[in-house]
Amino acid sequence: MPGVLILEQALNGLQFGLMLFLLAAGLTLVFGVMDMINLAHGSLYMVGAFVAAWLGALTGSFVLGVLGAVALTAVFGMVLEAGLLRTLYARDHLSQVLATFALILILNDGTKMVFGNDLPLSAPAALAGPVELLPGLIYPAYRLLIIGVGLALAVLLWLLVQKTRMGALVRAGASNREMATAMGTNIPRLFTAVFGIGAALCAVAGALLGPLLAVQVGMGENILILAFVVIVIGGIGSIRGALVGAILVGCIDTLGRTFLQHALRELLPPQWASAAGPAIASIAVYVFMAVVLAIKPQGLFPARG
Amino acid sequence: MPVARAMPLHTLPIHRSARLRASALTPASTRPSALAAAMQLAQLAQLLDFRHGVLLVMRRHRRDAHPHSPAPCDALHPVVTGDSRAGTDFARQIPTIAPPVIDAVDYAASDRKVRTMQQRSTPRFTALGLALSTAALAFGATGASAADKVKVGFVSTLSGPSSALGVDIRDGFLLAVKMNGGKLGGLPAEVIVSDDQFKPDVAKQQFEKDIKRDKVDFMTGVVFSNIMLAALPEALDSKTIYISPNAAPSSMAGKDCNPLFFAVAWPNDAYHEAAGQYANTRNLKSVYLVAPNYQAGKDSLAGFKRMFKGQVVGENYTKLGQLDYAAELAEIRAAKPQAVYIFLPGGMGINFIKQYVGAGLGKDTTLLLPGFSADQDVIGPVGGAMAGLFNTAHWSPDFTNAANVKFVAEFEKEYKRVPTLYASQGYDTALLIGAAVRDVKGKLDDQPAVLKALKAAKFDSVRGAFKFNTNNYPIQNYYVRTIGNDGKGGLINKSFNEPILKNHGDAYVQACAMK
Repeated sequence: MPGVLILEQALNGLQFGLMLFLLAAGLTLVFGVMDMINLAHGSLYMVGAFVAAWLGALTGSFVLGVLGAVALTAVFGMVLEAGLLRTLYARDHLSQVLATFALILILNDGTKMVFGNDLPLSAPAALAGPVELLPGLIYPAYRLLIIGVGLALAVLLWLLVQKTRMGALVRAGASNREMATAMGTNIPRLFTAVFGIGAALCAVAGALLGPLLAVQVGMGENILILAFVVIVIGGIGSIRGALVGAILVGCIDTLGRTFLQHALRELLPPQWASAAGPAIASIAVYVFMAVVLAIKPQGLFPARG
Repeated sequence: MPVARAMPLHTLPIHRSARLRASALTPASTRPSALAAAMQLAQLAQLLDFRHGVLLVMRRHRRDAHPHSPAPCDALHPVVTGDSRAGTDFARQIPTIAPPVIDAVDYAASDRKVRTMQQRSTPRFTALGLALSTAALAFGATGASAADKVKVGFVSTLSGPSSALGVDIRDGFLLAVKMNGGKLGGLPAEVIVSDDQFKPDVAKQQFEKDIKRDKVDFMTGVVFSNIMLAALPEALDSKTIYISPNAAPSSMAGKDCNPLFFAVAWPNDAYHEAAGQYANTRNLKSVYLVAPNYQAGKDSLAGFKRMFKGQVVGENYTKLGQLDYAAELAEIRAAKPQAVYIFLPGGMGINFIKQYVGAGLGKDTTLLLPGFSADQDVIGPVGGAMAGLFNTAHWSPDFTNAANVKFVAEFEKEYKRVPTLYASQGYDTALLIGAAVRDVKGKLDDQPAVLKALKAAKFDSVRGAFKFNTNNYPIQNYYVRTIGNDGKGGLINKSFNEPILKNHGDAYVQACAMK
């Protein structure tokens, strides 16, 4: 197997993983700090993508579309949290699942009513084509941008959580919420801010992935499942866990889809390989999650002590 | 008898108190609101077999005698509000296109709920209601007779990410009915539209409701093969004709063929066979294939390989619903084929095409598509990257036959968008039904004659020549289309004049027992 192919697949896995990280980071914060399962996280991602597409068409600039989408989705997320989701913190997880699932359905149809079933969103023309990184390694320029933005946001988030006061409050809230409340942090405002950050990260992911994937109603559900797998693997409440988990999931998914099929083709007769390959590829991530949970039930980097 | 004057006997309103108010207790002329309620409910009568009305009354009678603890209010039944105006509210809340949540109403549950929220009803009302329904029975009303209108049950995917297809088929169908003055074949047409929500079990329920409660003459509408195959037995077992405007799996073409099943669109493999033949004419020696890992995906690539004479350098089955094809595209680049053929319906195809062009593969490798991955519903989200791509289909918006020119013009005027091939299929289905009704002169009870008229298919299809094979699947031409500018700043499909496959049937007809 050519080295160029391996490198290209490694970059693909990294890119997919970093986008998953953006979603998983917000989700793990919400789950860790507020102890709320938020199924509507994928819908915030969808809203971010739609707003980016709409603003991009309105202003004619991709960058303005992305920035505008981030701001608007963050505001939307904070309004949603203050208005609706705040009532769910006291309730059990099942009620939260039911309520946020209802929110998915409402947001899906709401988006369809406001924007229509889908919107076109294209990468800026400068990045629409491939670049040659090494002799023989041709990689789409836009995916390199995604990797760059993903890494930058990971660093930014690390700085925020480790080096700022608010980050300290978030970490405290994630590891022991009752004690943090007893110590006098303004919990409602903290929660709103956390939710806003989560929504903003979703919007970045949605706006950046929009040109690659279809901006369609219902685009959030598929990626939401993977985001949950990531936070379970990484440890709930831990951003470091979300990053490591996301990159692992991205790489395993890519590996499963490519190298596993090659390996099977070497080992098994062709009709078995073509049947087993796709089947194993689709479950590889979940098998990995099961293995991690068997060995470390709290995830790889649990936030709670 | 005041009952006979106030409303047609064969209609029985669903809500007891409204019914009693409107008919038995007050003369129609002095209570306009009650009459309005009764008339609205009369319009709703199609939703309710009078038998249910009797059952409702009899249940009430039983419960009056044996009071029981109230059932909890069911969050899924918002319509039954429990106050005395509930009948009117109910009428207002059910639009003509009944959403499935309404159709899933368990009449027993709604009856319990009404009872718990209202005052206990007295035996006098119960007896009156019983008398009313007995009178209805005595007058032998059975609903609209088959000869004065034609009823079509239309079940399709109208919500969710895959709804664009179902919506188009419905719009094409309803446009044909509208263009014929609300009639099909000379008879007033009633089309009962329901949403299957992309779920086989919901589709089955909708079929059952349309067939058993509404007594439709024809069923049609389902987009996806898996959903259709789940719901089809409801129609076939009850001897209702099913006309498929889209799904046409190989099983129904071959060993499972049935005289009551008609496929108006194309056999599932057809576009892929046409693409395989087109690859031959373009002298493409090596092709890489991609399809989702499910039955239709496997069938599609089997269809392509049936016609294609070159070498298949790679066959990749991806996960159904997969979003990101970066890994597969890297494989394609490494395999260096001359062309890539994909079967990725809906959002999957949109994603793949965008990423394909973004990866720069479009320059050296030709991308071939089946028509449904290259129609207006894909061109919109993908945008300019679609320009110049080739695809195969049985219909194109630029066909010059008179029926098509009229169809495209009317569709654009009515719905403000270019019709997709799904819309053309819905339109053709309505024309086929109309032709059959016309040829049997409205005698829909004579099913053998209706089947014969359907098989003869004497209508002007927007695709040009159309005829049915012995297995009720079409024999028709398939064309190559390319995506070009429509002169208004957008993109549209343009067909090549010479069909790539002429009078092409399907590969499974030999296995069918019908001759």
